[in-house]
Amino acid sequence: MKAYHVGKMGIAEGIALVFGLVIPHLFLSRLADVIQENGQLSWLTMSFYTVISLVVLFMMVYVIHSVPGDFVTVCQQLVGNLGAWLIVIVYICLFFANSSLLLRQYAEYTLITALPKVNFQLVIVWYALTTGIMCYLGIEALCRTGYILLPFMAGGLMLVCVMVSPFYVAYNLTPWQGNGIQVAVQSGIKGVGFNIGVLSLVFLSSAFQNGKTIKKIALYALGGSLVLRITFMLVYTMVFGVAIGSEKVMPFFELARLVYINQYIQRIEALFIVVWVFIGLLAIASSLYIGLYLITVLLKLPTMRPIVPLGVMAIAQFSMLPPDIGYTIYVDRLMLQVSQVGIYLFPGILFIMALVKKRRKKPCADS
Amino acid sequence: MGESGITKIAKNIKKLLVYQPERLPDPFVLDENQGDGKTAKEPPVALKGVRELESMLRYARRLAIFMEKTIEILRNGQRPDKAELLQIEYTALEQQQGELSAIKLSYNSTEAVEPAISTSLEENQKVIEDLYNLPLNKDVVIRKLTIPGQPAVKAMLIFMDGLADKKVVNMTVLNPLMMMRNARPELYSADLVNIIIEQYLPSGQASRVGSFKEVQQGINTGDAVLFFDGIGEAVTVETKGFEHRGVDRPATEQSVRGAQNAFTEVLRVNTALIRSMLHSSDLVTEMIPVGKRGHTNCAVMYLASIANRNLVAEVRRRIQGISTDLIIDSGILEHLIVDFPSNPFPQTLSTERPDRVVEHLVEGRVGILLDGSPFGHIVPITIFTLMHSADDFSLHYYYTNMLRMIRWIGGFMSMLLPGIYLAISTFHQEAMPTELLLSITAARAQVPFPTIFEILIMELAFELIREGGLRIPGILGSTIGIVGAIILGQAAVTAKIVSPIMVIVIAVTGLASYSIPDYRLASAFRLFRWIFVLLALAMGLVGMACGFAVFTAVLCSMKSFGAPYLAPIAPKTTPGGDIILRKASHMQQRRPDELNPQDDIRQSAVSRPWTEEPSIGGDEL
Repeated sequence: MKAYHVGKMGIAEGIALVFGLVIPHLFLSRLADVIQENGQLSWLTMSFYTVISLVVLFMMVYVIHSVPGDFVTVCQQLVGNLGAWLIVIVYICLFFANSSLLLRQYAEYTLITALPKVNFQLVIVWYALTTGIMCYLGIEALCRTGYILLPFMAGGLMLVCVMVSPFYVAYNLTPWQGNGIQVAVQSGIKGVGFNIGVLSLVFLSSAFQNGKTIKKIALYALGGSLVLRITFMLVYTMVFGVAIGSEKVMPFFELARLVYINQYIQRIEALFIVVWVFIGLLAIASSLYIGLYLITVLLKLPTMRPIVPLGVMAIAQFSMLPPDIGYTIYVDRLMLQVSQVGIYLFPGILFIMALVKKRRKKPCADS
Repeated sequence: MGESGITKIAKNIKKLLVYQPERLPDPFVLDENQGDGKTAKEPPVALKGVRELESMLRYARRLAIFMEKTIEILRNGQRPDKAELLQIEYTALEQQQGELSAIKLSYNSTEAVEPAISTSLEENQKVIEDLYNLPLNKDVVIRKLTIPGQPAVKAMLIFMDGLADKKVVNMTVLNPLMMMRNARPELYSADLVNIIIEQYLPSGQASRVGSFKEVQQGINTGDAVLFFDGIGEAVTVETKGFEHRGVDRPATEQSVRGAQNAFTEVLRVNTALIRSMLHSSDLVTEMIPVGKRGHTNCAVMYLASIANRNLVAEVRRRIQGISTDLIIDSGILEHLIVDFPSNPFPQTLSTERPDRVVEHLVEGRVGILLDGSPFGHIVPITIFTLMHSADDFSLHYYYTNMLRMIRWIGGFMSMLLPGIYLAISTFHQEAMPTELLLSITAARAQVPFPTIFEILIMELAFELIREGGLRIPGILGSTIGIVGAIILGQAAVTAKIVSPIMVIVIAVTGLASYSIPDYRLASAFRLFRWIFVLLALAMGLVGMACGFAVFTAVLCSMKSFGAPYLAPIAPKTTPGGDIILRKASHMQQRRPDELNPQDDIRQSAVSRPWTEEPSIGGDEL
């Protein structure tokens, strides 16, 4: 057994992995972007993200089951060596970029919300070290940690939504058309990169029992995250409205700040820091692990653990490159667009090639 | 010629006036052995092979005596029974000659060859003397005897004084063997060892052994060993009779309603305690000797039809694979067989209660008991097993579940409370209600130290009281512990070294740590408490959240004898009905899935079939 062998994971672990990769943007400024773009109809955009990413995943499941082997072998069989290298390197870059950008954004928000006097580099190093240890322990431990912490994270999120109920203004959900259905659909198609993390199930397919399990995981994880996102988005819109809501860069924190039950339970946003730290850590660690795993498979390395510190150092350095949070958000938006290559182009090519290959394959009796 | 008076006086004056250094004995310096340990233990080159040479000489001498005796008998034309004696002696000499080839091999080779039991009593005595450093060692008793027979058989009995019961030795070995004058059987005509065991040793346990390794095991554990002249085998007879503590109440796992007996230091008493609770022919007790210098018996117990065979094989493999001098405590054994010995979290369930062992054996786990230790191990376990207590099985499950929730809360508090207090009071003051914040600030106003210093001082004081209380003998320990804590806490607050709230935090944390049923788990939580305090000091709640995530990941990556440490939650498996909360006994249909037992089902879906039968009492009221 190779040291980077992904082990045997079940539905629960898979859900935690996907959930951890797709949900953290809920706490970041991308949510405000979606609201700004689509107004009250943001839920439709989110639904499109989910439906399209599910279709893409189903296509990829077909691809990996039409050719035996790991993801790199599948790509090599379908698009040749050069094509496989190109595809895998792009995915590595996407996951590394995601990891770095999340690291930077979470570090920035930590500084703003919880530890204003702490040195910025220290926070980056702290998060990077933590995620490095989690990666080092392996994907099984990572996913199981996510699975254990998931109820607390989702519960914390829902608790905030319930506790700000006195601030609900139902009229903020009108006009229900938002900025128009067409805009929502277009935005939904363009922003599917939001859910690129679901493809991790394809990369780690050998860890799961079969294609049916992967599809089930995707369905549960994306469905669950969609419910959570829509609930949060509706609550957020009801509380802040579209105009104010689209200006805020830390939606969850802003919502938590409003909690006021009585004079003893107020200003408890600090306690919810724990929730988004968990989600951030899992997302950064999962992205980093997928990137490192793809490198290991691509270079046919015997083990992954020695490159974990290198990966950690790389994402820490990359995350410190943007001069400020504004530029980081800008790069993040850019990466969302670039992610479309990974969510539309490559799966499309691989799917077509798999179909073609299947048609070309003649029965044994004919040959 | 004697000295003159003047010379004597001059000498004495000289002695008085001239300084003479004090005569001191040569100082003793414990030098290191020359070379590595291996060579130091080996005999010097000149002595190498002396034992083998002596053996050969003894054989030669015996042969010479035999030849002289034969000549004498032939010359005198003595009775035919003498010729029969000669025949027996000749056979013995032939056998001894056969043994000499191994001795010769050992003499010629550079490596030591394990001595085999010889047909010569003299040879065997010599080996025993070598092995036990006789006559320096006064514990080993060698008793020579002659068993009356046709012809008489010379024998040698060896036992360890103090370990073997002399009364038992007399009654079950010496008496029957020496008092068979009337019978005078022909022992050499058939299988002597078999006849002795079957007809003349009234002991419950007597078995033949063929090597000195087995002989040593027998002697070292209190058995008596019998050697016979002309026979290359020995017989071990159970004569154990050393002093030991009787079965007592559990000291660390008291129970209000459960069984009230605990393991002792004697392995056989412990296995018997388990057998007395689990009357099943399916219960297997394997004995594995461990330790190179001193053999300690280790019992591996399991239910053959339930425990996973691979698990049993793995436990056996790990114990047999131990290479160490001596194991005197089950804690040492644990470190030698678990997957992560450097991880402070216990990976076996250590218990002194036979009823808990039985409960887990029935679930499909394996019990490990060590001779000399009153604690047994159960493997594999999960962290949830460690939070169960002995009383859980005897109380109503509603109450049990309430207690378990309290224990879990206590566990988390013992690990996280000081860290959370430090994080909130240092970094996230806004999270505290204003009134509470003002009260804390007022209390802390006169304390000149930062919160972390207060925590460290108080934690240190608490650990000192705990450790000191353990060392002070008798009831005085707990009294001093309580009084010391109260006085120390009060004095520290009055002296304004710590704030009252800090005393409360540390006291609650300390109390919470006592709610954890497993002492080793509580210790692990206490260790991690320091880490969380440091994390909180560095990064507040963010640091604690990071630490907790890593802590969970570490637990998720751990396994106890192949079973995930957080099963059946991570990975999710079919629960057995007794994890964090406990179902009613009649609802626990399955055995824990993570154990992969041979038989998954503990009881049928309807474990109370009488509820479906008509009542004897007739119709409803």
